[in-house]
Amino acid sequence: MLTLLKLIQSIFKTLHSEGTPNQVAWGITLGAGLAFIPIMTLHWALLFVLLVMLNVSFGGGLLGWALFTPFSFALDPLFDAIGRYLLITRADLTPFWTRIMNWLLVPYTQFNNSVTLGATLFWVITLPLVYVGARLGVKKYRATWAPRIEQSAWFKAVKASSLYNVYRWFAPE
Amino acid sequence: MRLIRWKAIIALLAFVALFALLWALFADRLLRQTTEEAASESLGAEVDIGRFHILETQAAVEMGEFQLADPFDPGRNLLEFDSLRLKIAPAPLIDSKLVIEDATLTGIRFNVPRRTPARAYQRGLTQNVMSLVHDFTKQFDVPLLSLLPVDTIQAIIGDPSQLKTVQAANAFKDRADSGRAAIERGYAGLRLQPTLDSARALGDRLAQVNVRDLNAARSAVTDLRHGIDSLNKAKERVTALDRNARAQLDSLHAGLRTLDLARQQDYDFARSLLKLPSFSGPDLSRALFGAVSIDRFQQALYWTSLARKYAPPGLLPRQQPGPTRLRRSGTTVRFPLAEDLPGLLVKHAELALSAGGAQSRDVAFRMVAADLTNDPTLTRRPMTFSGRGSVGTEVPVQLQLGGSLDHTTQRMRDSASVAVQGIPLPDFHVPGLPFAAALTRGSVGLDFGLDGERIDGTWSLSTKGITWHADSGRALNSMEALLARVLDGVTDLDVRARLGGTIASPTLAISSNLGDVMAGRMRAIVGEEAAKAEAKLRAQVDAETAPRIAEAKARVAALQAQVDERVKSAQAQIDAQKKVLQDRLAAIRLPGGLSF
Repeated sequence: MLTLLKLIQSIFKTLHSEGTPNQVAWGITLGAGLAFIPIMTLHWALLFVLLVMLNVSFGGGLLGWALFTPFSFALDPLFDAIGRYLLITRADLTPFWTRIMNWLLVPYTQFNNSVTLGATLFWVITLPLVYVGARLGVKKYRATWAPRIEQSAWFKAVKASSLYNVYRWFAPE
Repeated sequence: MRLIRWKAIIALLAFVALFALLWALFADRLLRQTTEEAASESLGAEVDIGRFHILETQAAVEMGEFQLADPFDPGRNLLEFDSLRLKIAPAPLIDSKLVIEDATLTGIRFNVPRRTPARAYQRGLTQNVMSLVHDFTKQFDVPLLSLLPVDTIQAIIGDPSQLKTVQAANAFKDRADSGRAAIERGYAGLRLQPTLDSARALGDRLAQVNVRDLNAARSAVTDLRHGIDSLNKAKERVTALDRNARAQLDSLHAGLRTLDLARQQDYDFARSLLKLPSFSGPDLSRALFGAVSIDRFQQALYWTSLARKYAPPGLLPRQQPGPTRLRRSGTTVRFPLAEDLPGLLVKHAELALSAGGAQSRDVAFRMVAADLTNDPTLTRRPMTFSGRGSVGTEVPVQLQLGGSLDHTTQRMRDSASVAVQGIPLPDFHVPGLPFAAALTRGSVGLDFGLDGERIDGTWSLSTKGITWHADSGRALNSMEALLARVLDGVTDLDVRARLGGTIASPTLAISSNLGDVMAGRMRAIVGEEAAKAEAKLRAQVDAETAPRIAEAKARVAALQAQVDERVKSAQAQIDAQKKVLQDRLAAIRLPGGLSF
């Protein structure tokens, strides 16, 4: 419950005032990566560290993660197909994968798994699109919807919660 | 605006600390469950691990209270051990490779009954291996023993259409009809009557030729010669028809012989329904010990085949299902690299059991294994294991085992052998008969080899003490009572099963002193009853098949007579008409008696 409340708080704060649209868009883009790429992989953990450490919107990251998770489940067959094509169908790429997968630490990325590889590539390819879309979306939201929502009673209640302070640690500077 | 927010490093460190705490609290349990699940999936049998402890500072793992269920018997554990310590090489972990430098196993037990039935884990690769083993075992025919009196035998052939003779006779009837139709068509195709009519008319027309008219005479000679040619050709067609008809008849005669063979098969089929025992020693041994021998060989084949699937030769990419997770698992492809470490390698494993319990330093049984891997091409050495010594404290069982899995080349060669002496043997129930035997301790041996697809195996059992008793509450019939007296005289048991051939076409030969003894006595005891039963079933088969065979033979005979008559008649008519024309031709002479 606390986690959920914190998540809602941070998302709304992000959309309304915290960070520039640029920072929020980067946060959402990294969050999309966290959603698409299966967890328990090295590059997923790296992406999480980047979201925490980089001066991008953490709330945006949580928003992107929450927003794109359902898509990741729906798109798994596509990720699987992409991965199988590159790992299995394209026999000419076998020497490449053999070399890559025997590099230090690379096995922990699980790039030799069809879904992981497909999802990672999908995220990398759609990264500019997600970033641009998120940037435009945040700008438009702040200009049109935000002022009306800020006046609502439930929004004020969420904002007044003390848990908001925890979130402040990750707020963009 | 700074690129990095340094304040967040505190949160990150807190997160890492939390992760470390969770690891310390739950890693053992999590990894135990994961290992159990992965091992069960990989081996196709339930694996339970009671204790699992990661010793991070010693780069080792300890597990205990381990149980591996028998994939063929959910009520039994194939293997249990008290403790296993794995010393892991840390450096290869960076490459996600598991190299076990040393493994130490203690407190091993085999064939232990389970408290609760094991769950089924036959999926994916193990399911494929299991279906291969099932296909393998299905190829063996183990006859059942039965000593039912003949007067209890009811109608054996419930559905006569099952009989091969009936099926063959029906097919033969169609063939005979088709053959007769073909001969009829061939006869009609001769167009014999128009040829004969034309020749007859020619003969009549040229009965009187004016030899003074040279042109008329020449024309008559030419016509007669054409007529004779036509008759010659007609005769050739008749000869050809005769040849074809004979071929058809030969084929039908062959069909008749097939009917006789089918009847013989029906006798065998009916005999199998009757469950009459064979009176040969090997057949009886097969009926007695076939199932138990096949059980042992199927275990050996299952584990060997599994080893072949998990440790194939070569360095081609290997596909396997991805990790189990909420998301789709996908397919994980392994890309082994030459000159590198295998993904899994157990360099050296050792099992040592003390004769006097944990306090004793006298090692009673020692087993070593080396180079166990999933990439045998990289180790370039066969996987080997061997052990010798005694197990158990009260009455030690002498155990000797060894084996090798050579997957370093495309032609995989696997072999394993186990010899156990002084082992308690379970009660033996004579299959199909109401007798059981309590066996004293004895010896069991299993040798199994798989060279490519060729199988070579031997299973043997011997004991010097048997006590027979009835295995059923019902009263024995007269034959069973006689056999019971024979069995009482059998006081030792010596069985030897020999497996050969290939996986796709195996052979199994079993010999046993019990089979030989039973064969000799049963021939006398059951012989008369068996003869009566056989006569009865032959009569049943004959009642269904004899009319059909007779009808088929009559059809062939009728067709043969028809062919003979028609060909003979046609040839006679042609010859007669030809003679008329030849006479006409001879009668045409030029003045002075010269012939044209």
